[in-house]
Amino acid sequence: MVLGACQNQKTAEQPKAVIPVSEISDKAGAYVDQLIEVDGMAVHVCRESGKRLFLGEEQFKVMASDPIGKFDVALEGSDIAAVGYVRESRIDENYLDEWEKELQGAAQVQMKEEVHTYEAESKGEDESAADTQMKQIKNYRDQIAASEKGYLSFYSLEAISVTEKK
Amino acid sequence: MKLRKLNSILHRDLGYLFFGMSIIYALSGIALNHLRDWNPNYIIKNYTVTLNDSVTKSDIDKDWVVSLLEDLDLSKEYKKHYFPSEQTLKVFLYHGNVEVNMATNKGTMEIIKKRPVFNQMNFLHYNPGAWWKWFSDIFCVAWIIIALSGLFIIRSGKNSITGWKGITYTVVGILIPLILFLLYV
Repeated sequence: MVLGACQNQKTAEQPKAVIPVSEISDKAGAYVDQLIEVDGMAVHVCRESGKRLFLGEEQFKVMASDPIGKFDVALEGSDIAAVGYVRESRIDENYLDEWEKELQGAAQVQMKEEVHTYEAESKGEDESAADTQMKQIKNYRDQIAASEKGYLSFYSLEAISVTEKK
Repeated sequence: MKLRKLNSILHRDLGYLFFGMSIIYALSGIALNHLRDWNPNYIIKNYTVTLNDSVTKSDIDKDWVVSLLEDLDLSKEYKKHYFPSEQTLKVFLYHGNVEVNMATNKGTMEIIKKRPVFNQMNFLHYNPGAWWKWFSDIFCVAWIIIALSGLFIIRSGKNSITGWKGITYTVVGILIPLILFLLYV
C-alpha cells in the first residue's frame, strides 16, 4: 500500500518548466535534478543501445531511464516532448587526466557516458577510437582553460517519458 | 511428499514454465555481448548518394527534397529535413535518413529496418515496464531454484553431485567465471 502511494505521488509530479531545446543550453543549469519537459526534434538515436537520443541542432542528450528502456530509431525526425530530470556531469582536469591515462593504458576504452555526445558521430568519426577521444580531451582542456569555473558542465535529461508530437 | 520428488517436480515444472524466458534472455544476452560486432536491433544498409547538380541551402525546400527522394525510389519515405550546418542537408525518412554535403554534392543514405526477433527480445531485455520487471525478477529467482534443484536430480553414482563427474563439472563451472574475474580485476 505504501509503495503504491509513493508511486502515485511520483507519477503525479508535474514538470517545473517546458523548455524548447533551443533554450536548454542557457536554462538547464537552473533545473539540475528537477523534472522538466524539453521540446524539440529528435535528430539522432543511438543505433547500438537505443539508450541515448539527441534533440535539436543543440544535440541535447536525452537518456532512457528504466521505464522507457530504449528509444526507437523511428523517432528520428519527429518533434517530441521529453519529460525527465536534468542531470549535470562536471568535467575537470582531474577527470581528463584519468581518462587520458586510461586511453594510454588500454587497447580500447569504452566511451564515457558523461562525455558521450553526438558531436564526433555527426562528423562521421569513430567516437570510440582512441584518437577521437584524445582530440575530445584536448578540446575540453582548451574549453576549461578558457572558462572561469575550472570545469565544464554537461547537461542531459534522464527521461521518464517521451511523447511524439503530431 | 519426499524432498527428492519435490525437487524433481520443481526442476521440471519451473523449467517448462520459464523455457520461453530462458530463450529470450539467452538470445538477447548473446546479441548484447556482441554489440561492437553487429547491431542486434536494426539491419542498417548504407549507400552513397551523388547529386547531379550543385545546390545551395536557399534552393532547397520540401518539394526539392521529395524530388530527390523520387530519384532514389523513396518518394513515400519523406518525413522531415533540416540543415545541421550551412553545407549539410539531412533528410529524415520513415526508415532511415539521407545526408548530403552540398559543397561536394556527395552524401550517404542509411536505410534502417528492425531486425526481426532480436529487436523484440532486446526490447524486453531492457525492462520495458513494471510488469516485466516483476516477471523477470520471478524468472531470476526461478532460475536459482532450477540451478540448485538440478544439482540433486540424480540420486547417486558418478553423475550425482557427490560423484566425481557431478563435483568436477560443478567446480569447473564456478571456477571459470572466478578465474576470469580475477584476470580482469
